[in-house]
Amino acid sequence: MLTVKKVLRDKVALDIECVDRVYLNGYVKYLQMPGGVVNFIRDQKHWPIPSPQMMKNLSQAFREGVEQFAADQGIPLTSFKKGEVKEETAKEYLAQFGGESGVVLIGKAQETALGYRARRVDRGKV
Amino acid sequence: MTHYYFYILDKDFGLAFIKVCTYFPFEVKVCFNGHEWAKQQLRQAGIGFEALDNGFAACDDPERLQEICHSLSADKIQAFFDYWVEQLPWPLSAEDHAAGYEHLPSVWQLEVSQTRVFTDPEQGRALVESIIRDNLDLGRPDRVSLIFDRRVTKRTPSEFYTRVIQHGVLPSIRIRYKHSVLKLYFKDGRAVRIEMMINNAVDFGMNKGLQKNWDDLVALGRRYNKRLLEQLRISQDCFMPLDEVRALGQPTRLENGQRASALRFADERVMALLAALSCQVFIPGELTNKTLRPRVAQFLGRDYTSAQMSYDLRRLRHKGLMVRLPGSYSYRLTELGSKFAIFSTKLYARVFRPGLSACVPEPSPSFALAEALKTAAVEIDALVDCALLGSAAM
Repeated sequence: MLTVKKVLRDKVALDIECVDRVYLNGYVKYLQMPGGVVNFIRDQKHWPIPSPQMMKNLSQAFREGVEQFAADQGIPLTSFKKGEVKEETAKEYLAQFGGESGVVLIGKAQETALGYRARRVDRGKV
Repeated sequence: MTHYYFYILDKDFGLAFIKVCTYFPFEVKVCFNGHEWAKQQLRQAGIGFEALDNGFAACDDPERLQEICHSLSADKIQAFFDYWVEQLPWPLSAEDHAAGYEHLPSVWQLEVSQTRVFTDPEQGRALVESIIRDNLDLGRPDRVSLIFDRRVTKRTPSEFYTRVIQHGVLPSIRIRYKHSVLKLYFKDGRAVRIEMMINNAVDFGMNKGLQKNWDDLVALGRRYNKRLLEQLRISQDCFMPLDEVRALGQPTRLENGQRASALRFADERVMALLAALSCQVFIPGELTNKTLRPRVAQFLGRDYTSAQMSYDLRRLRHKGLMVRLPGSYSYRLTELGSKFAIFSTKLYARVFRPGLSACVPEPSPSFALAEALKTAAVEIDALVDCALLGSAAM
């Protein structure tokens, strides 16, 4: 009779225990709370007012930095379409990639994410 | 919001991606595969292997491969992360990093797998399907799902369920525990893979920080994989000696004089209790009065009070089927408990209940056992008649 014990004992060619897929989340410890964001804008970026404009500037600089990086290094920059299997696309680019290590592809995608929203509170007005 | 996916080929980690949100506070996600990391290590060491999708089908040095797989550590992952943060355009500058505004990695999702490649894939597939069949008829369809390669809605014809072993269907067991999932499936027609997917370390009372928790989370995944395998072995080979079954069905006294009530087979409440326990066998985590009671009530089909649950937990404990965890009101099934719950439920559902229904005066005409019993009754009557005639003639 076929049993788990018999099959796993007698009919196994390779038995491997291994970590499979891993997702890491990268977070900035001091930017998890609104107070930390205000400190970052005032103390680190030296803006007198904790304005969301500073966040917009940082975003803009980052986007430009990525596009410049892609152009300088000759890395393909593509926009992922909705429903596209990103890994499959990356594998197609990997097949054409020559080196042992490096950036194979930069993809842009629109996704939801947690972020901060600022609002103006005028104090002292009647 | 716009996200940038940086698909990178790393000399140690193979193909991976780092996703960076373009808006403050610049959320980052990193994804890689431990099997790909192991493949890169084998390539660097010059050890030959055959890939099975993202895993391994064969390797020239399996022992070395297992050592490599076990050596993936938090330090190596941290070094990989730090290296690519330096190489890629990053939203926070070096001055920000120096002031403590740096991205710290935490474990968002971790899958720990155990893959057994069969020498005879047909037997492997038969094994996986028999495991699924056993789990389906133990009354747990809520935790067993068959994974189709297409979306199944309310309007999808139910015939899909009959295509379990046909093309395009992956036989699989998925056991949910809070946010995490324990899976068993047949991989690429050659191997059985057991995979613990930890989606939230907090489910198991742990934290997510990479450096402090990586080893514990991987050990937890391995432990539950082994546990599932062990429970499958018990559920498939759950034969119990008659004297053990008999002792559980009789009232006994403990050494301290306490009375341990009988667990009478076929008793409605006992069978509901055992069926509920057989559903809990694979679930990682402890059992409590609160978690087990609704399940027993469901099988019983009527009210089942907390006091009745307490009484039943006590007799299970006194019969050695459960142990209470020190300093708590949580319980865990012993090996005997797992065996007895599965054995009794299988015996009752597959033999006892259909067998008894065949003995009632008007059983289903198509039931072969009923027909056989009828024939046996006729034969016995004839034998008795014959014996009486014989004795009368003497």
